[in-house]
Amino acid sequence: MGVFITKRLLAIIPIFLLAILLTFIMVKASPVDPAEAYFAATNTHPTAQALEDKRQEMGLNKPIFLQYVDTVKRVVQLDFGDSYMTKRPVTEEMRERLPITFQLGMLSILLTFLISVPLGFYTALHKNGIVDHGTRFLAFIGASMPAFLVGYLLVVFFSVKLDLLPIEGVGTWQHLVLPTFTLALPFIVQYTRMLRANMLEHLDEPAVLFARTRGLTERVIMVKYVLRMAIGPVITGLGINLGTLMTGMVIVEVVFSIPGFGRYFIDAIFSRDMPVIQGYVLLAAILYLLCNLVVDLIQMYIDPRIVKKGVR
Amino acid sequence: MKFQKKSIVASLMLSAAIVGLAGCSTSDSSSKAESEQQDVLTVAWPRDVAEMNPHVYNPSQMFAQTMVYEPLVGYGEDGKLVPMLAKSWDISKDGKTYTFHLRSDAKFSDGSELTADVVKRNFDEVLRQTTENGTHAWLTVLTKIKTVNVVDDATLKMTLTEPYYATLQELAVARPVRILGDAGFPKDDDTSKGVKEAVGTGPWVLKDYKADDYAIYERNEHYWGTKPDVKEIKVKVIPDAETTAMALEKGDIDLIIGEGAVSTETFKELEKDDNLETQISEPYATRQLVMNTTRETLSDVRVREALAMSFDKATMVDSVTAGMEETADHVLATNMPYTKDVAAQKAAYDPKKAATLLDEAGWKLNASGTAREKDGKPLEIEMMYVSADTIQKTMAEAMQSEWAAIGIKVNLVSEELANQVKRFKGDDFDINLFSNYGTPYDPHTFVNIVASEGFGYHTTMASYDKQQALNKEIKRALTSTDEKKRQALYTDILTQIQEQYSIVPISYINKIAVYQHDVEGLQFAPNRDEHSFTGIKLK
Repeated sequence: MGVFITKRLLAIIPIFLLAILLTFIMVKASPVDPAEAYFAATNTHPTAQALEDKRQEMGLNKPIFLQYVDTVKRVVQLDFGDSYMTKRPVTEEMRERLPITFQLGMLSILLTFLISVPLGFYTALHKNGIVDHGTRFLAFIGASMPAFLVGYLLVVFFSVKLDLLPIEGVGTWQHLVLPTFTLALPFIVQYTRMLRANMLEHLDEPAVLFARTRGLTERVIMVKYVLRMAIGPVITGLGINLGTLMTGMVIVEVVFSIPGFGRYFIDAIFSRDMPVIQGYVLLAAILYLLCNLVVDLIQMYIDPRIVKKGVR
Repeated sequence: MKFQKKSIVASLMLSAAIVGLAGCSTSDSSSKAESEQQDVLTVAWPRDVAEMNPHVYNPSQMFAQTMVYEPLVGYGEDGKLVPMLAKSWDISKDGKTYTFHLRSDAKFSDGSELTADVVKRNFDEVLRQTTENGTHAWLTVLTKIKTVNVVDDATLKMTLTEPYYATLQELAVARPVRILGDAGFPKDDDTSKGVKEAVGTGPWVLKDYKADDYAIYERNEHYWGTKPDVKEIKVKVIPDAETTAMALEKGDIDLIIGEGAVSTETFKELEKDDNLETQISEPYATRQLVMNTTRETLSDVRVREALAMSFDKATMVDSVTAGMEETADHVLATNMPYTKDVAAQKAAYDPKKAATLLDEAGWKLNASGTAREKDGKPLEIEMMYVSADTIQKTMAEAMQSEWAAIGIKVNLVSEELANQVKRFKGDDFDINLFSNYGTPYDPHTFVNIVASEGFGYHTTMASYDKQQALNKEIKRALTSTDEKKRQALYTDILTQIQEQYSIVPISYINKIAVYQHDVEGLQFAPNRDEHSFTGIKLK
């Protein structure tokens, strides 16, 4: 196990370097001149001399290879530079905005599990029952409605009409209810259906049949065998869907006015705030790698066969 | 099977818990909001107000900067200049020396006095930034200031390299010539890197701030003018216009104000709401079709006139903006200084006459009868607009289809704002859907950029045989010291510009306000970049 984790953590290093290279190429390939963007972000009109000085300061006149080395040097120390707009260190600004986004992400993952596991489990056992048909209907809605629309509908119903929850902002846990649900809905419906399908598939596994012949109770069979086998892909799916979660976050943060990381990124795109964009992409890469590691660890815990494969 | 029942019960309990917890929480939050309601005006704004520094631009929000910091001279109704930190001023006969007599009762929010020294300190710093890296060179007056000297504690003398009548108008803008208190200056006085403390003389002081979330301003107890009735203003950052509208309907917010603060459809909906009041301001600027007359297709005034009269402007403006904007027939709205004697641009909707004009100009319908050509070249024009602006997009599409009906092919290109400005600066456009700066910058900024290179506006006069004479006239208007002469010059300049049909006014940009019944005394500030909250009372 320890060997596995060490191996995986070490594997993050080359991938991270690759991510730095890719963002570096992206920035260089884009038609935006960082020095120009620097002034444009604050809506100032520099003289030609000021622009040239800025280029010099940013090291844009250096050979491209040296620029890359500089970038790597900075980034590995988690220094993404200063935002063009606010002139503050990007890492600092990110640190202020990450907690709320992280909280929202975790809560929606938790909510997804709390709802889709029991529901998927139940609908698998009561195939074609009322609840099953109901979730199928919800799955259509959840998969086809964009997040912002779900958000608006929830606000209209729960905040404006029923006056139960705040419309926007942060501060209390009530503020988190609607955004969390909006963010989680597509995952809830997707994983409920996925878990149901997986369970139905695993019902006919020889192991389940064998367990039955051993006279184990239905409860033990379902939870210890079928659910355990069926839940694997759901967890993997969550790891893969981290990207979807992050894009969903952007929309949810805008609709519910949450001062988080996603909105910060969108603002940066519109004002071509290169250091922020670069920082976001790299942080997303790290997060993605770590999340997939966590997912694998959970998988191993559930299904120890994976450890053997992994260590080999 | 017991466990199944358990799982149902569990999920039911969970959902009940969510709804239940949600339910019990709201009663106290709403009662808290009510008690605050008396003294706090909550205003929605789509962006973070950012740093409270009078000498910087984006992302600092102008309306917020002007709540805290004040200029020497203010911009009042119909462009009348009003005393602010200078209670009066004298202008020398040659128009080169301005003497400002400072207000004796003005204090900064930290209690310190307003002195000529601190005003000079502000000018010195802004001028340093202007000469060092051109940061503020866009504001013409800053390139013309020769010296700023302290005469005595309450008198400041400013000399210019040449007379420039718009000096006072330009000192009234939102930034960067507003006055920061001594306590705000950093060690080396370089405010471009930030201020130490947001100390101004304005009616409001920043009390609390959370990035991207809210900013709370409290009444400045040292304020020299009529103190605001409202104790605090909470600026709530809500990036999404629909969410803003819902928060207003629910009562979480007292006021939405600004240009295009909500979509036209939403505004119509809110107008119907009996619990809300709406107001539309006077024009602040004009949406215009700006044509590049160095392009062969647009070099003939008859083609431009044909373009101007071949779309039904009034109907288009009314339907696209749902009555929110007013049709414009003047390149500059007539509530601006020196514009009152200018006649409207004559371009009544007349597609037939437009077709005749095109025929006369040599652009004849081709064999198929759907497109026009001249010497085998098709009449094809590109029009640029901002992709994010739905009003512009809809208007552009409406005009495109009407122009197509008389055989003019117009290709629409949507650009991001930054790109649009870049292309406009580089004269890289045929027609640009743009607007002038508005109050307090116009008419002087507008005519100035028409007469000088560096911004696309100068291409509108490139095919005019009297362009040189016009440019000289503009120069004369800007340097003239005689009010009457200046008025006559402006009338002549603007009339000539309008008769070239290379700038076609479409509609007037204004601000809207939607607010709760208990908000009283709301008035739009004459300066486009300011919002006035001082006169507001909460019932």
